[in-house]
Amino acid sequence: MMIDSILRLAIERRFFFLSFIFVIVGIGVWNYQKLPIDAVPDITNVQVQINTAAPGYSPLEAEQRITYPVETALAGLPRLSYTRSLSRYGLSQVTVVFEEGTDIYFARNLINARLAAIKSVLPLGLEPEMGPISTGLGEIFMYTVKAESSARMVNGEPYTATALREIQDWIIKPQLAQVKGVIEVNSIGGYNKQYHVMPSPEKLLYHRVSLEDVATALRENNDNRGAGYIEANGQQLLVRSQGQLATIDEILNVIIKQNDGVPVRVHDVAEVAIGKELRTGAATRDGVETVLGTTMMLIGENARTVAKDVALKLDDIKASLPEGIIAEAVYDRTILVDKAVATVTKNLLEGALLVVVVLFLLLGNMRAALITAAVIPLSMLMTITGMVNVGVSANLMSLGALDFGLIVDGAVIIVENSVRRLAEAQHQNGRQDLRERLNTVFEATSEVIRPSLFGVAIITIVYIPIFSLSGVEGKMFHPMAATVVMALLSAMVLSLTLVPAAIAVILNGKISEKESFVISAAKSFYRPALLLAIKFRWLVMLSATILIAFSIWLATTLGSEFVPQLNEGDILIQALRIPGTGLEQSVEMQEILEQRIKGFPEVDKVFARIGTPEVATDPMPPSIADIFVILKSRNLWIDPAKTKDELLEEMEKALKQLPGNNYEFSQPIQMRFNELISGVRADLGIKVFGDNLDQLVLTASDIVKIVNSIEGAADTRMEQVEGLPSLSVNPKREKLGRYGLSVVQLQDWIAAAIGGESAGILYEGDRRFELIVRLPELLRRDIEGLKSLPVPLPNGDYVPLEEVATISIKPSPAQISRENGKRRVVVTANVRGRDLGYFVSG
Amino acid sequence: MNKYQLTLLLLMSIILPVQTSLAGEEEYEEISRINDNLAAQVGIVTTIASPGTINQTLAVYGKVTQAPEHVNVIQARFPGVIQSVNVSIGDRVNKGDRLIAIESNESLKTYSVQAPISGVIMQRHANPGELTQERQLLTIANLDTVWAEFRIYPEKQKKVSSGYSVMVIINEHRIQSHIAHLVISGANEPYMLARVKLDNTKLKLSPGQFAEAKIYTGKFDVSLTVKKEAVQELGGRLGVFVKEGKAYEFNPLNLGKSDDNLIEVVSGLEKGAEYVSKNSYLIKADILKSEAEDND
Repeated sequence: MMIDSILRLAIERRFFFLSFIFVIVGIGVWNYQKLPIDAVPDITNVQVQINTAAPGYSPLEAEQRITYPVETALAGLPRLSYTRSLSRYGLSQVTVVFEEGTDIYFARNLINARLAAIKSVLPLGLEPEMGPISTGLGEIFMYTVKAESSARMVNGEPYTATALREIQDWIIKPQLAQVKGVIEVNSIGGYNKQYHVMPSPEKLLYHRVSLEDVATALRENNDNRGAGYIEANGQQLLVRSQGQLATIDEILNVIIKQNDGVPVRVHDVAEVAIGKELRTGAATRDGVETVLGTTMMLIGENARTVAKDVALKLDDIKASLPEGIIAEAVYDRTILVDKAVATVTKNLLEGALLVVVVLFLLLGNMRAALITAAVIPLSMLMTITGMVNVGVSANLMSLGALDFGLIVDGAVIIVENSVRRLAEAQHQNGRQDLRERLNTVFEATSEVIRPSLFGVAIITIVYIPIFSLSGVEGKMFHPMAATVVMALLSAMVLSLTLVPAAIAVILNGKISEKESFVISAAKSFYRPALLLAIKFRWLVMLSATILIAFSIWLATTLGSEFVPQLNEGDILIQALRIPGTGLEQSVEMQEILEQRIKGFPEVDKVFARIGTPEVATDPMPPSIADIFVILKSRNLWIDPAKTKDELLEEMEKALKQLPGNNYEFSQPIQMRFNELISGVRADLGIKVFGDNLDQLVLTASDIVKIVNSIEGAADTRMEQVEGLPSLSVNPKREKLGRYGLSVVQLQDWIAAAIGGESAGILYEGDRRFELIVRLPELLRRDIEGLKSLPVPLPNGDYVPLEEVATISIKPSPAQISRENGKRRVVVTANVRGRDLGYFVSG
Repeated sequence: MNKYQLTLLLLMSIILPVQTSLAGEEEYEEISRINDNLAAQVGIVTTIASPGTINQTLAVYGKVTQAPEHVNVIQARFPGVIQSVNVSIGDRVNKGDRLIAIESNESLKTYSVQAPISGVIMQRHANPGELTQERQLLTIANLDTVWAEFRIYPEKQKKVSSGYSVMVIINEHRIQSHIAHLVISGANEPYMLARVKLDNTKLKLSPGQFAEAKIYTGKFDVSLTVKKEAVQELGGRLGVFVKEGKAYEFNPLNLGKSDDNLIEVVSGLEKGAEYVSKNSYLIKADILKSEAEDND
């Protein structure tokens, strides 16, 4: 028999086997250093986001010109699961989901190749970019940048949002990006610094200069050129020509053209100032606008280590910040991970101690108890080794599932039997010599090794079906099952090898097998109870049956009210405003909202992201804000006994009073998961696919009506498609023709006048800032005024805008969602008081 | 035990259903309730609907031109030889000043040409010894009065007629005046010219300068107005939010004429009603808030 021969070998070569302890400990400790530790298992699927920033593109155009070609290019990728996409104002985002187990770098490579191939199809200047290689757990560290109220910029004025953003982008971000394990530092809030050249329309007309002339002049007067080198008298001289613009004064002095010999300079027609970009997102903290940085972790890194390193680096950076500028961490994953690790460690330690105590009480032999207990750390170390190699991270789920009772199960049986047999043998024959003792140990072990192994094996098998789970459930429970199975297998191997070896070595000398007090007490109680039960066997059977029946009934009432969550300690509130709400309006509403939240004594910090950050990892419209509420540690609360739910309820009540906001309460990690996995978040989802958006909306609203008429339907609603008002400036073709203007000329002018036209880049050391030509803010905002703006004609004359274009405000799609290359509108419904299966079939 | 709790806990945490609510066509109540304290805090300001004056304006662009009646081209009455020229470009002359002496070819007598108007010599083509022939000798212009000519494009021609008051803006100067007359531009252009007379004794405008103007195209005293920024669109209709106690109710309005600030209410609102004039978007947002959702 194989088992017997292993046992014999283990006992014969006991010291050799015991020496393996050092190997196990060594490898285990080494692997522990590499074990990724996080709070929860990562349930993000294998996905790559492709973001294309398309400034000025409406949702329809973004879909038509960018999303569609990108999606089509990706079709047929190997191991592709599905694609979905989102086209919003100025952004196209395609999310590509691959089959489980696909190597992310392989996937990105494939996509990269495809994207390179379609470059010529996309509109000029647009560059699709893949999102950071990160997951739902990736946002590990956030910080805000603010200025003390007394701090002053170089020019003596208080810090502006633009200046703060400049500090974030050019001082903090480049340094943080160097930390190992950081894949992206994402900025939101403030304004990207831009130099704005703002010509006034009358002055342009007066000097007969067009916007395009201004932009061209700036472009052509802002460059450094190298001209090779010359050798003079044996020395090499580099030839350079420096013509780069550096200051506002230099920009003002650029000559645009000459009128009758008189140069027209930029300052004749325009004002130049540091302006505000047309931003897509903002950030607030404690009710004030701020600049927020989010550090994202590379897939598979150790969240705790990376977050710690980032925090240390941020401390270093503080020294290099200008006087009065504060960069402060507002969210640090370390705190949560430490909490989770502490919880797990405490549970595991307590469990281990309990096992040792119980073993000692039951076995009545300290040495035997210690042999058994030694199985716990050893199998733990083996498990950790296994986890690192399989790629399972340590978290609440994987470690929390470990049960030391199960692990020592096999060892207990073996040790107990050995102790008994050894004691008996000593009792009969007095002291044994070594050979006899080893023989007894072998017999005792081999006697019970089968039931012991079977026991552990059966428990292990119970976990096997979990591996058949797929999707999110799979990601959630596979680590747990893997960890438990590995722990049990380790325990099995140990009880087959090390345990017998240890018994052979350690259990020498006199073995007393006294029944401990606990056992004898239990026995004295158990014997009469057992006799009684056998006597009234029918009564016992009957009551047991009733008990089972009762339990089954109880189980059916185990209801949906029981919805506990992993407590992340922090709160995330999504504030939703109606689509079409402007960013500035949203910020205003947000500031009032945050002041309310800050009013709660339990709240330490509150900060928010509004709209879309620089890297569109989470493309929200300006009407939506993600608000992070960081609570004080519980002992600082006025009422430490208050539960989080109570606090949430109070908060919701207070916030509900504020007009114009809708809320969803959740937690930071939880929300990220939701967003990334992004299934339908209601009980029932009906997806309507089609090409014609109007027809889709019609069909979907018909479906809404029908679903609503079914009993049990609740919260039936259609995905928001319409609702973003847009200002349409549509060319009157005939009039255009009469004035000798082409549609493109008109559109270029509108784009430059209202949106702004890039006219090059200004360098300040490492920093680079865009030079933009566009109309002054006051004129841009005045919708009525736009109508009479003079549009320059090719012959040098002009015509008011409304003469050649109709200007109207029309609703347009707020966003267009697609799935697997088809437009999609989702109707969702919740089912109340009825079985979902019946609801769907009925 | 531990295991079970954790299992459930984590499972639930990911499948936590998200609260959704009713929405759709016309399913919302068009009322929002906000107490006064809060309203003040979030910056909601109300105003009483009252009669008002609507001043409609139109922004136009044009140029400063010389007044034709104040430009004089001097020619010789009798052809002859120029004896002397007393003035040069830029010289100011008064009416009746002797400018040029010419010896007539017919009578061989010298006669002098007098300044027909007061003004400034703009051009001089005459020099002693030259024959006058049929040439222009001098141009005198009086720039005490100039005209601003503004282009009125077809879209707006119906709205403008002579006599309308106008605010002319030239080089930051604002001059109140009125349209003297509306003429066809004559240069085969689609626009008409609205001409405004300007007193130039102090302004020192020069012809050719660029001018901007606001034409007051209509002044209407109307019985009821609301502020333009108060008007919001809800369910495809325009209206304002009327405050009654704590309730703000949407009042669809029939709107008439408007200017930069005010808009006429034809029907739909009582005189004296208290409506939200600032931050009305908040009320709209509040009424529609159940529609707000994250579509990721």
